[in-house]
This record gives sequence, C-alpha cells and structure tokens, in this order.
Amino acid sequence: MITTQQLTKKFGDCTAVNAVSTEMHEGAVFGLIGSNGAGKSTFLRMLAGVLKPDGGQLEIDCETVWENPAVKSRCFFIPDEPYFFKNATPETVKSFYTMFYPKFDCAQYDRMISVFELPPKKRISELSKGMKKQVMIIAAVSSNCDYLFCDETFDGLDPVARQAIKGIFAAGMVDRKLTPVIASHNLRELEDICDRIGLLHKGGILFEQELDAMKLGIHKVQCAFAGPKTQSDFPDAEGFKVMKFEARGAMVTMTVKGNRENITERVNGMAPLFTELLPLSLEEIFISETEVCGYDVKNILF
Amino acid sequence: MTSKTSSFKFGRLTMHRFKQLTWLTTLWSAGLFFALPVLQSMQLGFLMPQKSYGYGEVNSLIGNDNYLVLIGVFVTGIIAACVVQAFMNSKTQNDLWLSLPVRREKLFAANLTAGGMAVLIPLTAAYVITIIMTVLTPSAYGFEMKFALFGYLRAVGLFLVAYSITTLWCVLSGRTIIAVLCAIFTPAIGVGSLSIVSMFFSLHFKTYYASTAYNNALISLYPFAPFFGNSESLYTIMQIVWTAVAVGLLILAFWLVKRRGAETAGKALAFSKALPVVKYPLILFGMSFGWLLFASTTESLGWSAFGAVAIGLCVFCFVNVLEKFEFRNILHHWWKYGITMAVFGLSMTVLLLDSMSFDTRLPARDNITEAKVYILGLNDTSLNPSKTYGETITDSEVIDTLYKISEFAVSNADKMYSHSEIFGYINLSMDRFVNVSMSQDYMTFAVDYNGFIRIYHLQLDQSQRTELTALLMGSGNQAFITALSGVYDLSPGDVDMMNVNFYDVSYNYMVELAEANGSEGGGWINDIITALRADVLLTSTEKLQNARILGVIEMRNSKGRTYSIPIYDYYESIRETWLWDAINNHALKVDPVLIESIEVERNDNNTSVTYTDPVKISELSSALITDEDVKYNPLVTIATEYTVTVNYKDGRAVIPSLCNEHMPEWLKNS
Repeated sequence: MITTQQLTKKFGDCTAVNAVSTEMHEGAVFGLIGSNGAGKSTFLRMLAGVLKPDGGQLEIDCETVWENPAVKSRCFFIPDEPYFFKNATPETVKSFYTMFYPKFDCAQYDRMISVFELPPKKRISELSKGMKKQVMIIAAVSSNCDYLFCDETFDGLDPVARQAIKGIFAAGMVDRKLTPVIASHNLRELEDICDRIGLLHKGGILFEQELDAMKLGIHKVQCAFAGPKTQSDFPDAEGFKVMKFEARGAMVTMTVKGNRENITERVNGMAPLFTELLPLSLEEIFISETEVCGYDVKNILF
Repeated sequence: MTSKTSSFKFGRLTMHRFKQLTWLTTLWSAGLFFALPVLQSMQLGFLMPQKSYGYGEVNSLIGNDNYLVLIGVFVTGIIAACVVQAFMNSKTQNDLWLSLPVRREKLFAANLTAGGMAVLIPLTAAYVITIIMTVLTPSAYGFEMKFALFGYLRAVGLFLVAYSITTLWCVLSGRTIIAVLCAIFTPAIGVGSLSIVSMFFSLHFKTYYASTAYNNALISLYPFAPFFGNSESLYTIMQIVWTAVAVGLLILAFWLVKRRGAETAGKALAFSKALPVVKYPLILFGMSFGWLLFASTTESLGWSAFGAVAIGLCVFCFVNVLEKFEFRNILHHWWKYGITMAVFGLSMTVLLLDSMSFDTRLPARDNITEAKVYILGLNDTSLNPSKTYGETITDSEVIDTLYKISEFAVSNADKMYSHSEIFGYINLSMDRFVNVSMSQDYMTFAVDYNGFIRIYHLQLDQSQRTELTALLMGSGNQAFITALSGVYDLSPGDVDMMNVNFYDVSYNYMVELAEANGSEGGGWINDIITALRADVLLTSTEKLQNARILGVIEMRNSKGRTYSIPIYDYYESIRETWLWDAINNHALKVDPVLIESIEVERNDNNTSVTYTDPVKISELSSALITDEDVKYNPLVTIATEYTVTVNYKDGRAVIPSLCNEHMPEWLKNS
C-alpha cells in the first residue's frame, strides 16, 4: 500500500505538491486527475523516487522510497516522455531493464512485443510516439513490478492498444495484485479502469474517493417550479450541498453533492413541476469540483 | 548475496555505459594512434639513420613532450565527463535513471568509471604499443621506461584533473554548456585575479616587481597549466598536488550528487548557493580586466574606470543571461551590479592610494625617522619581507646614505644598459655584506646573503656619479660605515678612486678576499667584473619584470608609515654562477667531527700523511672543495700536487679537491 502524509514538494517559490495525504491500496487502480500544473507528474515522480519530497512522508509498504533500491525494484515509472538511449531497440530495452528488475519476464516481453507487432530490432527513435509508449508499457508490465506509475500513458495510443493495455493491467491486478497509479487528463479512460480517484488542484488534493462512491455522491438535478427560484431557496444541509446553481426562469439546473435519496426528498419537498436526477461523468465531476476552487472556464475565457 | 548482486549490477551498468561511449573511445583511439605510435615511429625513422642522437629524442614523444596527447587528454576528459553525467541535466533522462532501483551514488560511480575507462583504456593501450614498438626497434638506443612512465602518469594526472573538475561542475550545474564553461574558466579565477593584481601594480607602481618565480607560481595555480609546463620541480609538485585535489573533487562530487535534486535539470546551477560564488568573482574579474585594458592603452584614470564599468557590465549581463537562459534576465538584480561596482571602486581607490606601500615613491627625507635594510632570499617575491631580520637604523647620517641610494634606485630602477669600463668600486658591509661597485657610468650593488652573491646594476649620469661618489667617499659614507661596522673591521684599500673593504670577523674568508682585490684589474672583484661584462652582453634584459629582487630598503617615517624600495638584480645567468655558494660555502659542508682521518698524499714524491688530530682535521676540512666549486668558482684554485682522502667515521671515504687559497699554512710548509 502506498501512503502519503502531508507530502509536499516545492520548486523555488512554487509549491507543486502541497501537503497531500492519501492512500493507494494494492490491487486497485488509482487515478490521478487534476488541472494543468496541479502537481500530478510531480506527485508521480516522488512516488517513483525521482524527486525527493521537501516535506511529509511517502511510504510504500511501510518503507520510504527515496534512495531505497529494494522498494524501487518493485516500482516502475512510465513518464509522459519516456527516454530511450540512442540506437536503442526493443531488444536492447529488454536487456537494459533485466539489469535492474530481477523478476523481469523476458518471455512475456518478447511475446507482447510480438503481439503488439513491434519490430524488436528496429531503432526506437524510428518508431511512432504510440509505439514508443507501447514498448515502455510492455517493459513495465514485464518487469513484474508491484506498483506501476503511469504519467499520461494512454496518450498517443490507438483505441485497440488502449484496450489491450487495460486488459494487461487488469490481468496483472488479478495475477499479482499489480497497483497502477495513473495520471491522466483523459477522464473517460480513467473512468473505465480506475477504482479510486484523487483530484489534485494547485498542488493540493481536493478529494480522493472510490469512483463508484464518487459518482453516487454527486448528481446533476434538473427541475422546474411554478415560480422562479434562487440558490438561497436550496440551503446546504446534511447530505445536500449545492455546488453549482443555474436558474432560467422557473427552470433550475443544479450540481448537488449528496446521496440520491436526500436530494430527491429535498427537491420533491419544494413541489417541483418536474424533476430529473442525472449521473455525472468523471469529467463533469472534475469540472464542478474545480469550479468550486475558482478553476472555471468562464474565468479563463472572460 | 546482496553485495555480490550489487557489484554485479554495478559492473553490468558500467559496461552498459561504457558501450554507449563507443564513439568517444573510437575517436580518441584514432587520435592517439596518430599522436603516439605513428609519431614515435616517424621520430625513430628520422633518428635511426643518424649516427648519434640524444637519448632525450627517443624519449621525448613518449615522455613529457607530447603535447598532442596532453591536449587530447584534456579535451577528451572534459567531453567524457560531460557525456556520462549529462543525464543529470535532462528531465527525461532523470525520469529514467533516477526511477531505477539503483542508488544515485552507484549510478554516478558507474558513469564515472565508464567515462574513465573510455579515455584511459585507449591511452594505456597506446602507451603500451608505443613502448613495445620503441623497444623492438633496432638501434633505438637510449629509451628509458621511466620517461614513458612519467609521460603516461602525467597524461593520466591531467585527465583526472580535467575529468574531475568537469564532473564536479556537471553536478553543480544544471546545463552541460555551463558545466563546460565553468570547468574551463572558474579554475582560472584565482590565477587570473592574481595576474591582474600583478599587472595592476606593474602598471600603476613604477617599480613594482614580480619575479619569474612568482609568475611560475601563478601559472601553477591554474590546475591544467602545470601539466603543460616543463619539467621544473614546481610544476611536477603542482601536478601531484592538482591530481590529489582532483581526487578530492571527485569525493566532493560524490557527496553532492546525493543532495542534488532532479528538478534542477535545466537550471544554470543545481545548487543556488554556488551562484554568487561564481558570479561575482567573474564580474570583478571582468571589471579588473576592463580597467587594465583601458589603463594600459589610455593611461587615463577616467577611461580606466569606464573600461571597468563597461566590461564588468558585459560580464554581469552575460552571466545573467546564462543564469536563466533567457535574454530578458539580462539586467536582473541590476542593483547588485551597483554594489559590485562600488566594492571594486573602493578596492581600486585603496590600491591607488598605495595604502599597502607597494609603490616605491619616497617620502620626504625629513619624515624619515628610521630605516632597515633587508636582503631577500632567492625565492622572495614580496616587497614585504620577513621582519625577522634586518637591522633597524636610526642614525641620521646612515639614513641619509640609504635615502640617497633609495632615491637612486627608484629613479633608475627601470633602466638597464650594457656594462662598460669599471674603474673603481667600494665595498660596504651592511647587515652581512654589500658590495657597491662604481664605474664610469654605472653602479653595481653586490649583495651577499647566506653565501649568495646578488648583483644589480644601475646607469649613472654625470651628476649622479658625482653625487654618489661624494656620497660613498664622503663623511656620510664614513658615518654609515662606522655605524654599521660595530662588529666589522675596517680595511681600506688603495684602488684608483676608492676601495673600502669590511669584513665580518665571523667570516674569516673575507680576509683573503680583501687582500685579493688589491688593485684594479686584479683579484676576485675583477673576475666578477669580467663575468658581469660577459654576462650582460649575452643575457641582459630591459624588462623590469624579468629581474629578480635582491633586497629591500625599508624606510619608516615619523607617522609610522613604511616605504619599501626594492633593489633589483638584472643578471640572470651571472647569478646562476655567482649565486653558487662561491664565497663562503666552498668548503665541504661536513662537520669535522664526523671525520675519522684525512690522508694527504703528495703526488710529486708519493709520500702521504694521515691526520687524525681534530684541530688539523678541522683546518684541513675548510680547505676541501667539491667538484662543483672547482667548476663554477673562479675564485678558487686546486692544489693539484695533493691528493686528499677523507675517511669518515661511518666507514665512507671521499676524495675531494684541496683549495690553494684555504690550504693551512702548516700544510704548505710541511
């Protein structure tokens, strides 16, 4: 299990990751979402032992990561821009990683290289961006690591490759309790694969929840009343918190935090002419959560 | 098991990195092939048809004189360090390397080893091939393995220095280009600053002196320079010192690499605290350079200040741009430049006011209350000699004399002309012994300190000659002599103009010297004059900087301010002869107590006598001279009719020469 307590990283005057406390359970996919510059990559680089935290604690299975080869040999980091040596080929990548990962499965690597139809002896610099990512992911999976840190890994992959990789991740989770931590802006992808989501914004964590619970805890409510309504007509209460309110005459659209029953009961109590509760996509949740923090598209555009 | 696995990983990692340097190894090997075996082969091919050649010619290329190899080692060392440590300055490479299950130190060490192997393996191979080729070449006589070994070690030392300094800068900086620039230029800040200070004094203080030894010492402060120098012992020592420092720098780099954040990749400096340490010395260096450049061309203080401000500003802007790699940063923190400028201005003001008494401008005579005469050793480079010796003089008349001499020295210090007819001389004993020779047009100071004779030479015009003659012959001189010679015995001569000799009762040999200079054209003084004349014709120089300082007359005024007047020695080669312990060190430097017996054999009748009496042994030993004395000292002659064998108590036996001039009377009469 990965635990962070008040994890902080500063770059000069800028606090990239600000007192983030979270837990990532083994065998589950943790999705890391956040606005640009929220600190997702920095967070992952700290998990991978590339960056040294300036404050707080970071432990993987109760051991610190920084300068700890034993722990790092159970982790694999796929950065957003993977680096390959000049003249490297998928073959040489394999021999390189076998130096560092004692459980590296060469047969699996060869098999997957073959399945993905990657040329094993071709220079990686001549491969496409997506193929480079594929080589890196194959190396990561073949390393038989316990923790996989992926930074925008699905970027550049075609839909078939994406599905295949997801399948490989899922198999790893079943077989050996692989724990992928995936940072991505592609919320649709995360929605499919993640068990738990952490939302970072401006270095701090806004929330961290099981994806299902998250979806069940926030709803979009569309309702119509006999007369015009304002947000003050819907005060916050236990199990009912209006995050976003829009009224056009008697027509009201709200994003409300709370469980379905509470929301339905509260809205129905105001005698609506019409009510509808819609589930929010991860993207909508992201937008509504970050809007609360002032990260509003209107603020950006106007 | 862990240790074995760990070392195995290190070895594999090192080899992996080494393979990635194949291009460097190949290029370097190709260069070495031409610089060592091919050149040596050409050299041997050129030498062998000759009937005779110096052994140095066979050993030169493989020894110390192969500058191609040294330049190659220097350049390759810098390139290798940059290439193997470049990953630290790249975010993408950091993500790869630092996420791997390997400690930073081990990764660093593996890279370091791989870089070293890429350079040293071809170098070693090239030397081995060249040595084998030379040994196997028929008629290539004179080859000595030690020269090849020294040449190899020198190259390895230079590599270590270049490699470690660049490696350290790779760790300290976040960009390779900055690492290279810093590796080459920052080690020169110290030596550059000292050189600029020396140039500054030369420019602004008329008689400021910097000896060759001082300049050599300065050069040695630049870590790479001693490896390109000749085989002087100073350079050899500095090569060893800098190699040891290089090892220290690598240890420092090891220590720093653990503390270096991966996020510093791409920044100018990985450790921001290092920035002012580099930046402001560079700016001050630029300011000093600007000052000197304009001062030497315009001789105007205003233009000098302009040069300092302008070039300092250029350096400031350049460093600022490099700092962020952004042109908009060009005048960042401009006020800090103002502070730097103020510090520089203050320093220049202090220096120009001569608060350190580097200048030799004399104070008014009335202000002088006491004086001292220092005689400096050969290696003294400062105008502020040790205060441990030098007699304080308060006698007004003596100070008058010294003042006149000082005036003369100051006003003539930058003149140097060939020697002409000498018609008289005067010997003054001061402190130990000072010899002043007067000629028609010149005055020569000969100074004896610790057995070394140093000579300086000044041109006289008519008025000066008259003045000095009066000075040296007059009552002032007599008072001067009297005051200084409390322990001296006066023994005036009868040479044309003057001949005043003193001797220190503790140096008996002076008696003979005084007797020897009985007339012009004869005696040891004439020998010196003859040698002087010959030497001046061959080796004279007008460059004051090339002269050696041989003494300082120090004057202190009533306010306690001290003025130092340097006395120069213009004669390089004659010094080499006459600085030889020609006068008082010609005897065997052996305590007679160590001698068991001395056997003296007369060659004409083959009779011999063995002396065991300590008194006779003592007297005899003072007349024994070495082969070097015989070779270099024209003041002594060998008593060829004797063969002397000295038997030491430890069983050794030595056969020195017997000096006629010091032979005991009882031996002559025996």
